[in-house]
Amino acid sequence: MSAALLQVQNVSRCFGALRAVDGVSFEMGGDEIVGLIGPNGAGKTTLFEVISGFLAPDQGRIVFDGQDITGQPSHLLARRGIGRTFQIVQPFPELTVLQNVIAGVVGPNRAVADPAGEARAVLQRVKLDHRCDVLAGRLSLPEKKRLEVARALATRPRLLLLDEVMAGLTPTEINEMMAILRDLRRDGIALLIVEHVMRAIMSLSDRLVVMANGRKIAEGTPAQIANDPVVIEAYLGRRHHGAA
Amino acid sequence: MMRPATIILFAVVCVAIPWLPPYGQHVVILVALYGALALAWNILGGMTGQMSLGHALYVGAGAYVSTVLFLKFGISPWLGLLAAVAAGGALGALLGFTVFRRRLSGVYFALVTLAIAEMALHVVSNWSFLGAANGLSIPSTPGVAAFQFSSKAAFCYVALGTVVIVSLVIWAIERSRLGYVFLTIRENESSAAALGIDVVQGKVIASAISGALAAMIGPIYANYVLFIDPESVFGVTLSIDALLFSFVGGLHAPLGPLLGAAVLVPLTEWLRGELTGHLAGLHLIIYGILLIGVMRLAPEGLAGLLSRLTGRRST
Repeated sequence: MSAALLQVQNVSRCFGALRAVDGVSFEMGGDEIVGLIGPNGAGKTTLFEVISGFLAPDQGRIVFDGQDITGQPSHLLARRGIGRTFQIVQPFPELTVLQNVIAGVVGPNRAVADPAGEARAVLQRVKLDHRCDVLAGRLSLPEKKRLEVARALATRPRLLLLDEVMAGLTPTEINEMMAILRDLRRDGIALLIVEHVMRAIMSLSDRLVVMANGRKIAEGTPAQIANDPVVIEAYLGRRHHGAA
Repeated sequence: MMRPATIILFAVVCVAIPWLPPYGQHVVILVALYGALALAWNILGGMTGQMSLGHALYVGAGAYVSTVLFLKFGISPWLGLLAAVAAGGALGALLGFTVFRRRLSGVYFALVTLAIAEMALHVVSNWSFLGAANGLSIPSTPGVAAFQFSSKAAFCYVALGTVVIVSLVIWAIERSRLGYVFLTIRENESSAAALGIDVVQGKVIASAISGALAAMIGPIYANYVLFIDPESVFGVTLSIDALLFSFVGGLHAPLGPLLGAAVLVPLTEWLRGELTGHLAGLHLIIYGILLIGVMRLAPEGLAGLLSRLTGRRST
């Protein structure tokens, strides 16, 4: 993994006295699916916000494709090839599904011959092309999740940050989403996934990074993580205290 | 479905103008100028979602730029018109850059624009070079070179020309990347940024285009009335009218603001004429009640109501 696509180096971010992300480091290659897991409040979403430029880190560096991108605004990172979805879906409700995705195609401000055609192709990849002319606000939640992925995909990212795109989906819908994500990796897009659906993240991820209380507590293959006593304690120990 | 009907209606108005009585022509001019202003306002307000309460700033700046260039420096009002548009664009960009970089939006943006327009009103009212509160009179020298026309009908076409120019700009924006920049900023700024859209830059561009087009109305109004004073071109009523016509006509319909002006301007004129003799101010009360009714029954505006009705009829 000499040619890491993304390097997160000792990144911290505080909100007042709360150290939401506390000295986290990890790397991922351009052909990897990495899962970011941890109990609620571990700092996963905050780390996402920092990597995608929505929050600046208080400390540490983020290197993407060999270049230091620490503190760069989100729209420039999107143009560099970092796409993201939002934990709480944020479609453009009064635009149609197709318009939502065209916005993703033209967003990074590069020459595109046929934005609508490209947007339709992206919608086909996430199996939402039959809903092109529907207003995005009218979609069901599973459809909105797929639109969220499609829109990020339309920017032609090299790294896609997916924040709980399976939350609220039925088992069948989760299987569909997993198939979509596997296709994306096959097309050469690296995926960094925050997810609480363990079945999905365990089977999708090449490696897992585990966070608790803002810190990275473990890193390894899904099999290693599943048997790691520190991880088990972070999850189960927390539940024990919660019940007390 | 709307488009051909709109063009036919526009053509009918153009053909009918010479046969209209002078007062009718006057109303057409008012509708066109207010309509163009509301359309210009809507580029920032309706498309980009940033509600300005200070668009009188641009109308006033435009009117004063061309009038002062003509009166004090003898520069042709045609060049003055270009200077006015440039000044409006520069002001819009400057105001947008100052405000949006600080992430002011919503009510705060509205209040800042209101305050800046009011400040401009008071500065001009106390600036003797600009005629202060007395305003500036343009001597009547009919002729195309002086941007004055011997007939009201000719002015009708000039005023309708501004509507066409603003509409064409909107049409071009809607078909370009810029249209997506504006709409996505209105819909969700975070999502727009995540797609590579520079939100602050997009708002500044919207403010500049909106300001430039609104400033175009100023010189045309000035050369029609041949007199400007701070209250008539910088006054807050102008800012409110621009917003109100857009709301009533429909913020999200391309020509909604024009429709709003086409309904409300003649209505205001008629109510004022009918009622002023009896009860001063009553026309404003009726106007208010009508507005509440429209907002209540058609919150998406008259354009939305119209397309709902025509949609129902066709099925």
